[in-house]
Amino acid sequence: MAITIRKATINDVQAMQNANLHNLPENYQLKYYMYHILSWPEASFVATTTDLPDHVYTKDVKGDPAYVAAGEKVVGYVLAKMDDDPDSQDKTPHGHITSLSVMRTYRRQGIAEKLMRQALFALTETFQSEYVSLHVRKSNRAALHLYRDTLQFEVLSIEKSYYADGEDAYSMKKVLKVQDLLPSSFQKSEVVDDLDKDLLEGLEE
Amino acid sequence: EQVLKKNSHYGEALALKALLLYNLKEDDCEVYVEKALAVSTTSPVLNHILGILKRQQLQYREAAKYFKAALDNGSSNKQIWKDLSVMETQSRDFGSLAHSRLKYLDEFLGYRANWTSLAIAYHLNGNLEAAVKTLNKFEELAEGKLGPNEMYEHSELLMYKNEIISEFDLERALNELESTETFDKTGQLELKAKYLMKLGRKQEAQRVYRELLKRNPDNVSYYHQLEDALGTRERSAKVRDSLYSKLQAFYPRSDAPKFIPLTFTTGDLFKERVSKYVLDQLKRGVPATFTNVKPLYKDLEKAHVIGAIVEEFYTKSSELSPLCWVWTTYFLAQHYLQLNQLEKSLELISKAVEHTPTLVELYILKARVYKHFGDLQTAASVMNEGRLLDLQDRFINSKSVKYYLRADNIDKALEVVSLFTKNEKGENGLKDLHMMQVCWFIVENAESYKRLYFANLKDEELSKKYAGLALKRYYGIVKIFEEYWNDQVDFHTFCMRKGTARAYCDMIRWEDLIFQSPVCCRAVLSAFGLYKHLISNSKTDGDEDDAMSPVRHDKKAKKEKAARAKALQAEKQHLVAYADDEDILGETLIGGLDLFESKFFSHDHGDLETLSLNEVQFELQFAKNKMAPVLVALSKLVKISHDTYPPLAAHILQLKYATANKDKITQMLASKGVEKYYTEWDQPWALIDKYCVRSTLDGIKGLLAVYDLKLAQLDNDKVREEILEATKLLQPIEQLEILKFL
Repeated sequence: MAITIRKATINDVQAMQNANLHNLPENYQLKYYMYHILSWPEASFVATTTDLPDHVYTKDVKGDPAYVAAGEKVVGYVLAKMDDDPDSQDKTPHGHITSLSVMRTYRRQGIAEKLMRQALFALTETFQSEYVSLHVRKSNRAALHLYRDTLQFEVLSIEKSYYADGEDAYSMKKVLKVQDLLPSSFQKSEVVDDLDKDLLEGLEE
Repeated sequence: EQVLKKNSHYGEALALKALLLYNLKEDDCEVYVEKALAVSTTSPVLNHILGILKRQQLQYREAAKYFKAALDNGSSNKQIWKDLSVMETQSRDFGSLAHSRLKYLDEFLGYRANWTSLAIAYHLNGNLEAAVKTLNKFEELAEGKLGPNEMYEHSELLMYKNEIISEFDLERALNELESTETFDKTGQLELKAKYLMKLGRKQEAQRVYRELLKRNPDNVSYYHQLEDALGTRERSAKVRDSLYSKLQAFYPRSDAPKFIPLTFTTGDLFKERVSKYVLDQLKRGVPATFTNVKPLYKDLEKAHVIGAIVEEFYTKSSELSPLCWVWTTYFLAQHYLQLNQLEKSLELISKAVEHTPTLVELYILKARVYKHFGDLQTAASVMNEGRLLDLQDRFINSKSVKYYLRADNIDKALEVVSLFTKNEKGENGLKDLHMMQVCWFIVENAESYKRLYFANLKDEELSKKYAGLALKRYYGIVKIFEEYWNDQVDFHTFCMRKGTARAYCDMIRWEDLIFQSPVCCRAVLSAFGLYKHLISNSKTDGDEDDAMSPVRHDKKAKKEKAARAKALQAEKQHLVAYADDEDILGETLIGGLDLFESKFFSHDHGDLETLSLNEVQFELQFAKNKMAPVLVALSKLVKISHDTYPPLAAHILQLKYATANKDKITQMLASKGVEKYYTEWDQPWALIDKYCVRSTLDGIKGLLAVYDLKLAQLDNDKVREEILEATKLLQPIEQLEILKFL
């Protein structure tokens, strides 16, 4: 079934943790995911697959932590927050991307970009974030391409040995303006829904 | 200590000593609790201290009891009302909660968090109007006085209030929503659309869904809801298809408007649409192309159409690009795997690997095909070949680990998984895996130990070791879920300050069902199976033991035994799951059903809503001769599965016939209880046929459950034959799963 991008809720946190543990070396206990959802409930998103209903018989949700409902599997997520560090130098409201990941077998479909576009829009509209920052591994070329080229983040600096294994990180930032961030405006479509025209007009049986 | 020396009957000091001993991890803590209580049960300070102790021991109900006693006995410490509230929430005593929150608010009126707390308590206790009144009251008090930093909290609470109102007055909620100033514009539109639909105002609702699509054109449910509002679900495929063509033009980069038409179109229209959908993705080299269309394979006709399209494209794909050819081959290999043509699938994927030996995804699929052949060793080594191509990628590392576990090569699995864990010097990642709550690994690890238990039944010591380790890992899962349950405690205060009341209430409901999470259910059900076998095995074991005993005195055997014990000690160091692991091999977990129940099944589950937990409940209570809960579990299994759950055949027969060793009343209750579901006892096969669909693995497992009952009323040879016959049509890996029980 088509991939859905939707807001992450508390029901998704086990599956988000599972996706993180499968894909990334930086891991967190469940409580940290709960803390994100319960502090900034509108800021994080998941990508899920959904199956068509099974007609043979109704089963339990598969005993695999990737599943959040029967046939619904989390294959990617973005975990986002506002900076809430009381010692932070910069008091302007700004967001931070804690973690982003898409399962390897679901790549090359633009899922990471779409997750990010939702998070950036929500951080700005709902939390008045004026910019957003993130870190990316120096060796992660795909991520760098996404942030720098597609999403137009700027590289602020290189942080030496940012990661536990000694690797350097690019520290990146993007200034946010809500009017530029509506997700559908990145669809490059020639026609736009004006909301008023009858969608069923001219449709024949 | 000094106070106690002077007066050993000073209750408060005794309680404080108990608390200190607990924190120093010393044993005598409970002794001092009793000593303290012997002096006084009414001292407010003493009760307060014991409340704190019980809270630290995670005994929330007990903690609430002592906090309450401290207040009832005149404590002047008003903070206790807050501590009590947290404990009451944690033990889901919402009636008392509202009282405690109110008491605390009375003391500290100036904080919004206290008003929010009270409103939430009313809401959780079902008193909706009181919740709304409380929220309104604060809004009146604060009008015009809120600073910019408080506006997000304010906005969240307005939305929360509106949702509560909608629970009793939809029109009012909709009217108030229109004028609500909130930052959560998406949430506001979602609520508006939902209310309009409920009020039957579909024309207005469809417009809102279109607004929502502009915000998120990749949310499949918006498309479905838009169709509900437009009333197109009952219209012809042609009309619906045209609608989606319009939506595709608005959102050309979204998958949903392209995919959804594939689910309802048929014939030539389907062929045209699916051809474009699949070939576009293959040309772009999307690895998940097959996964994306796989749900359509429930309709075999569609599956064949897709296969024919891709086969045709295959002949010319190499002209496009070598990569396109590879991804097409990869697609077809999955297509034939899905259709159970394993040879053909293997041939294709092997060709692809040969052509481009650098693509990790190809190895993942090749390993999967070997798995379906039942060749788990080869599957694991192929997956590992893939892993070696990209050592930085944790995804392929995890896959490789999982395949080693499936092949019961636990040592290798641990070695590979430890490449990405934080390991203390010289150790593997087992402790880190438990600390980081890596459920997928721990449950797979448990299951491999369980298989090793069954594979080594002839060797008493070895099988016991594996049983212990399996239970240790299963219990590791339960402990992680206990952590998840305890994780909520801080949020009972935190969310009140943040104002995130909607997310908080979702969390409460989610925590209520936390022990029914899929992976927790899987661990509990699988552990239960192991307990059942251990019990039946220990019953028959006794005689063999005697027969074996003379051999044991043999010198050689003695030597062997000593060597084994030594090896086990060495092995133990690599099996440590926790910093203070006192039962590395899980020996204390081996026992009877009582032990199972206290360790795995004693949590407050609420109503059991999953098949697996009702399955456990059915058998557990049957063993205990408690027919009332057995029949409740049975009716739940019927309800949840819409009366299609294959083991129901065996369960109904079991209640009718397999109660001979039970007392007369139990027999009668059981037999009467099943009459609701079946009465044609002269035709047991009709019952079996109803539930056990022969073409599915689960259906055959249902037959196996019937066979296991060995009922005198059935021709068991016939049951066995039926199983063997049906099993022939399964994949090799599934055949193995059945045949090992026959």
